[in-house]
Amino acid sequence: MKICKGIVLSNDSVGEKYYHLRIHCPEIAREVKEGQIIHVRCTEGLDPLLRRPFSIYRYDPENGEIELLYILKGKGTERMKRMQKGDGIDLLGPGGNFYKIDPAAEGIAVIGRGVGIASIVSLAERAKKEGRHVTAVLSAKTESLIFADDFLERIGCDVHVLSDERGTSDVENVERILTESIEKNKVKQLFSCGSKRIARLTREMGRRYRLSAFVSLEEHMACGIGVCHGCVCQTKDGYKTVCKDGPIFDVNEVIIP
Amino acid sequence: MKEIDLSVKIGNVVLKNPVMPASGTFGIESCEVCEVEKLGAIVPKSVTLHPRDGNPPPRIVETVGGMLNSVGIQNKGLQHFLDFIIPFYKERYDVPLMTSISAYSIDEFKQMVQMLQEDGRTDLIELNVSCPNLKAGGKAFGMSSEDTYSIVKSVREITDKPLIPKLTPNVTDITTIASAAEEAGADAVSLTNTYIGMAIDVHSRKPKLGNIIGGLSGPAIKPISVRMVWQVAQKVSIPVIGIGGIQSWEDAVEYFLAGASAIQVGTYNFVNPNGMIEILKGIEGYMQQHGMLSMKELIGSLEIE
Ligand SMILES: Cc1cc2nc3c(=O)[nH]c(=O)nc-3n(C[C@H](O)[C@H](O)[C@H](O)COP(=O)(O)OP(=O)(O)OC[C@H]3O[C@@H](n4cnc5c(N)ncnc54)[C@H](O)[C@@H]3O)c2cc1C
Ligand SMILES: Cc1cc2nc3c(=O)[nH]c(=O)nc-3n(C[C@H](O)[C@H](O)[C@H](O)COP(=O)(O)O)c2cc1C
Ligand code: FES
Repeated sequence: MKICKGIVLSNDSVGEKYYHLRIHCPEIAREVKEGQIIHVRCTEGLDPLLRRPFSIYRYDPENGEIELLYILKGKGTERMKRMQKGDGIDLLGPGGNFYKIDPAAEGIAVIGRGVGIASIVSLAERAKKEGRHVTAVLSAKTESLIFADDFLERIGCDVHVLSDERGTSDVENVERILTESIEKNKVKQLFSCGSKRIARLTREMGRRYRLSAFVSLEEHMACGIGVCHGCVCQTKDGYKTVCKDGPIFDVNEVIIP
Repeated sequence: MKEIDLSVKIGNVVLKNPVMPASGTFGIESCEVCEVEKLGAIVPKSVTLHPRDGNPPPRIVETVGGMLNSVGIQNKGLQHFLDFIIPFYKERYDVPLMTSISAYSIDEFKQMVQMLQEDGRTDLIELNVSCPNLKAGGKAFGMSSEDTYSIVKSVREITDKPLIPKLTPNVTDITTIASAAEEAGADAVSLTNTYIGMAIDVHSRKPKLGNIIGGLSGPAIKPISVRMVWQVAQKVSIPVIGIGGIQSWEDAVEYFLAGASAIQVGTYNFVNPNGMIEILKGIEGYMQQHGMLSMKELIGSLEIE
């Protein structure tokens, strides 16, 4: 965990509502791992006051680069949108735990919904580098809200694009894709981000097929480092902090509402 | 150039400078991102006698210029504090430890102070009296002069450590509470804690906090807390520790001018975990610029025509 000043390399609009922010920040690029959190100070002023948490989208330790993929929501992300190449950016990170791939897993499945896709892209990338099979299920309200599908296909993932507008994003369909993949590709771990419905599905499937399943959670944050207990989620062992104990939890440990 | 003396005395303890964290906004994890050895004191999250789970989430809502929190006093209890938290700080830093305690009855306060006194490693004790008194219908102790007096008086007999009741601003006249604390033997008072507030999501028509209401902190509260510090500093002769919305050295200096002897930084630690050190440097710069050699020259030096 460090406070660092990064330099914006680019900040481009992607699709309808997303922005892709590339930052030069060697200190964080060197340390960060798949699924971890970067807390961005969106303004030097007082509004918005608190940092905003984002998942690491991609990173490159050799070139000292990190990338975030964010959706425009409110004040903070509207401010971030205005950042330009060459601007300084105040970052706190990397925070929290990371996705851990079981060395014995021949295959994994990653499931991202909406902006939650951002969190699982670097995980898929790592698994491919390690020579594993990756089933990537990308789901959103509309197809225009899906990103990274081309990239994931290019690196050799088995990519499934699902959307509400096409009626393909229902849980049954996700279940069908995952079942096929588990049977065909020796998938041993399921990772999801962005949908409680899907997290519950992975819990059920995990039990049925004796697989481990993990979910990356979101909660409002203040400190981002584990001191304020503001971002807790309910687990079988009581409250845990999403910013430090998480954001990634075993679906059997966390209570998914 | 003469050296500026930033030290202040609270009871019989000398702090090398007047800057410290506000309870609940600083912890073991902060040490990775903050130059703790430079602080005037270390103030951990309030601890209670028994472990507490805290309130249901969501616990944090940002508001304009501030935030509401309903964390509750989530902590692992005093025994865990003695076994793990105190050694963590004491082994690493030569900085006075101000332990913040909270309790739900006077007996509990007494029991906790007794344990801290016997343990001996705590340098100062902050009494968070903003908790509800469960024996009196849940009204916070700090809302009543009598309760505040009784708590301070009854723990005063048990300990020689500096006692610093931390006052809640959710009262009609904070000066009467501060006077009651002084009369009962407090060595200083710290103020303020958070202001009770509420935020509603108009789309779902639900409260934004799991606990419905929570405490407002951050820059939005600063003018009210500065006013309270100014009023209290005129009324009591013990040191006042100023708290509320401090984000910069200018904010800190405002509190000193109003009569605070030391300050605590809360919410701003979330924005900039090393901000307290920058504030400290700024205070020193201000004193240098104004030719002040010690905190005595700065504290309460507000000029009113
Ligand atoms: C672990 C984690 C990873 C995340 N990863 C990404 C990501 O990769 N890409 C992305 O676009 N978004 C991500 N988010 C969500 C992102 O943090 C919010 O969209 C952002 O904070 C909204 O800020 P805003 O000021 O634009 O919106 P606001 O106007 O402040 O709020 C809009 C909504 O954003 C959420 N929000 C506001 N403040 C916070 C806060 N302090 N912490 C958490 N949520 C908040 C609330 O649900 C709120 O209703 C992540 C959140 C968490 C907790
Ligand atoms: C998340 C959070 C937790 C807090 N927990 C405590 C606590 O345990 N004990 C206490 O005395 N005050 C607690 N406070 C109050 C602060 O110590 C401080 O009095 C208040 O936030 C005002 O200062 P600020 O505006 O600088 O934050 C808490 C504040 C926040 C924001
Ligand atoms: S945001 Fe403070 S503990 Fe997670």
